[in-house]
Amino acid sequence: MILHILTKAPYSSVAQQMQQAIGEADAVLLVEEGVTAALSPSWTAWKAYHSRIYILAEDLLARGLNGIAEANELPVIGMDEFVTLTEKYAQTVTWY
Amino acid sequence: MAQSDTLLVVIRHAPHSTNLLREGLDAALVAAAFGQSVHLLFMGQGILALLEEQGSGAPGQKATLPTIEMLEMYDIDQLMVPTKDLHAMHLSHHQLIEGVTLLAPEDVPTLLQQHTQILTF
Repeated sequence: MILHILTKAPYSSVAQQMQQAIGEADAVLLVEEGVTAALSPSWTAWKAYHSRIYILAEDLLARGLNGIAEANELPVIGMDEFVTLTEKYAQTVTWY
Repeated sequence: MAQSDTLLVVIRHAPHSTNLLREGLDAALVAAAFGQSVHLLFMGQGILALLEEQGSGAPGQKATLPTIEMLEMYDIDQLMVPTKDLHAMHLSHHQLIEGVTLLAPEDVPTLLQQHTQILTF
């Protein structure tokens, strides 16, 4: 069980490399530039990792994307839940 | 299930572009020097570090290949590359140094699950 943290845009080579490495029981958290995925509701990862992909509220707010994320009904979580995720998943891998 | 106490270093940056490749190799060597079992996974641009015919780069820049060849002295003999990335880079296995293991796409997530500690560079 690994928590994959993506810090780059959804269509970057980093995101593609991360998607190669995601296992069945893993989860994904989008932070920093990764939250621009809120602009791509058709990004394959939303469906592929449904119920185990999250997007960080603080970074959405910083980029003025919180309204769009809400409109697209994306799984937004705050910093507290971020900490909870790191406790739930045994390993964390950051892709940057 | 996760192997005990094995470090996986994922290298994703090319030689001569950033310091990240050198830092990744250094991290692997230091861990191995302290007796830890280390495996290396080269993804994307990181595969370029395994090309057999490499120069030393710009004047004053250290070459990568000598460091790669030193890995074996530290018992780091698991150098892995996903076939998907190799083909995406339009490279083939024989263009890489000897001893590189190719991974099928479905084996990459399994590889990560098998390691208790994972560093990405």
